[in-house]
Amino acid sequence: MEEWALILNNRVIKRFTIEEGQTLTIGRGQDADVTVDNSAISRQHSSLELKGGTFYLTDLYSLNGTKVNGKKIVSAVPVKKRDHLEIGKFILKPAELLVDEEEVESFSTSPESMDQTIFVKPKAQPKSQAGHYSLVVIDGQASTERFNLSGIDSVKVGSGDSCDLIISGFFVARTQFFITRGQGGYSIIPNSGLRRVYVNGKKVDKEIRLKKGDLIKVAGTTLKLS
Amino acid sequence: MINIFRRFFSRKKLTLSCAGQSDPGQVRSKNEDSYSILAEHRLFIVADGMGGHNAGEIASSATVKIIGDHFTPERLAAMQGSPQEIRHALVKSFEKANVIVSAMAAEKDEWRGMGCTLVVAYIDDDTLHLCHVGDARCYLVSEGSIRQLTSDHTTLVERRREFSDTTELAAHPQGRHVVTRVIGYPFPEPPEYYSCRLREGDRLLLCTDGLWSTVTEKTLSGVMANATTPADAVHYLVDLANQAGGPDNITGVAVFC
Repeated sequence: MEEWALILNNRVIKRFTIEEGQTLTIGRGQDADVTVDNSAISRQHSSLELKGGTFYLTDLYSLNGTKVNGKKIVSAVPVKKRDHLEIGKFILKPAELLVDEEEVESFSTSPESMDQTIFVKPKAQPKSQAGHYSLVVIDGQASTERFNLSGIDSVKVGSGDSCDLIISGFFVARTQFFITRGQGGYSIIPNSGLRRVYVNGKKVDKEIRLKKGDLIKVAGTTLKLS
Repeated sequence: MINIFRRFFSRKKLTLSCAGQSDPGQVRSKNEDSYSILAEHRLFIVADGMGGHNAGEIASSATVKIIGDHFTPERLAAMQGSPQEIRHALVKSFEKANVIVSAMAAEKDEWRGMGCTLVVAYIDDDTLHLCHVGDARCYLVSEGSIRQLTSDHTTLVERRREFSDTTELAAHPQGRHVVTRVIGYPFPEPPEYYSCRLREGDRLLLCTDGLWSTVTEKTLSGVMANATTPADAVHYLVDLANQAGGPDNITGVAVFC
């Protein structure tokens, strides 16, 4: 499990995690694994793969290109953590290599008066609450084998096109359930309707807290929160 | 058959009247608050911008537009009658605004660090769906009494939950202005969602801290309960805030059911 960050002008815009065996697409489009809403990024811009302990960066025929150490790349290129990686105007960097000024801890303006509102980053969450979560497909078919929950507060799951995670199957509702982030973890909210959702074998008809390892089953598909 | 069931269980669609007003106040040279009323969509948005130069105004006006644009006719149609879809759509709109405003902040030096607090209300038939970050508030005035529906995401309020002795906190002059969850910075906790049923006669006030920090809750309640129209209510409240010194930008949106 490695955490990476996308940086623009010394400012962290997005963080995401990648696991061994995963390939994540980075782009502006909704169907990208890591979405960046910026016009300089193509819908499907680049992909990052972690295979056998090595990272590979690929350009997906983007308009503004993907660069490694200043050179535009085309096909998959193995990259080291200290290489200078650029996706359009963004810098892609492992989170462990972020320098202090890239994470804006607090910001205060030179206030016109004492009443200025300022933002301060709250204390870090205790280790037991923090953690990286994904939804992994154990059985059945979905739009992706592993859905990364890092930095996402709400996920819509179902057979409909507007879902963040699309599950195929005749008996899957267009909107089947939601996974939402809350204090210290995630919860599942089934959508009201006829079709059933099961967590660890028990039918769920209202919001319940989930823990790592829980199995969510709907029709022929099983997902694991890991 | 289905139609008979629908009539039995159909929710009453409350008729709404609404108005908003925003004022720079007596001290600030610029107004960095923004608001939007999308009356036919029953969607109400209030944001209080922060940041150097005029960055606060950029952040709040961009945010208000992003939220409004997110609720397309297709999305609204898909949401109708489903509290879970509405909650998801609200949280997603905040996520979207956060990503876009963060990226904008990185594009120019003078926008660096900009952000805003935000409160969004959506009324589906007779149910209020609320989502917020920061210390922009929503109040409900019902049957003569007032209730603050949102809890401020500020160090003062969050520490109050941890400590029973609040005298030390109350003495801290900046405490209430230090927000911990805003558009423009990664959310340490998700945007806060709340919903409740509304009844005919209920009145809602969405406002920035420039209003709620200068007018007492008792006065807010009185004005909201007694005003003839939402426009009268917000107009009077903005006046009162200015009379109290108007140290900050003042914005209020009133919705009468």
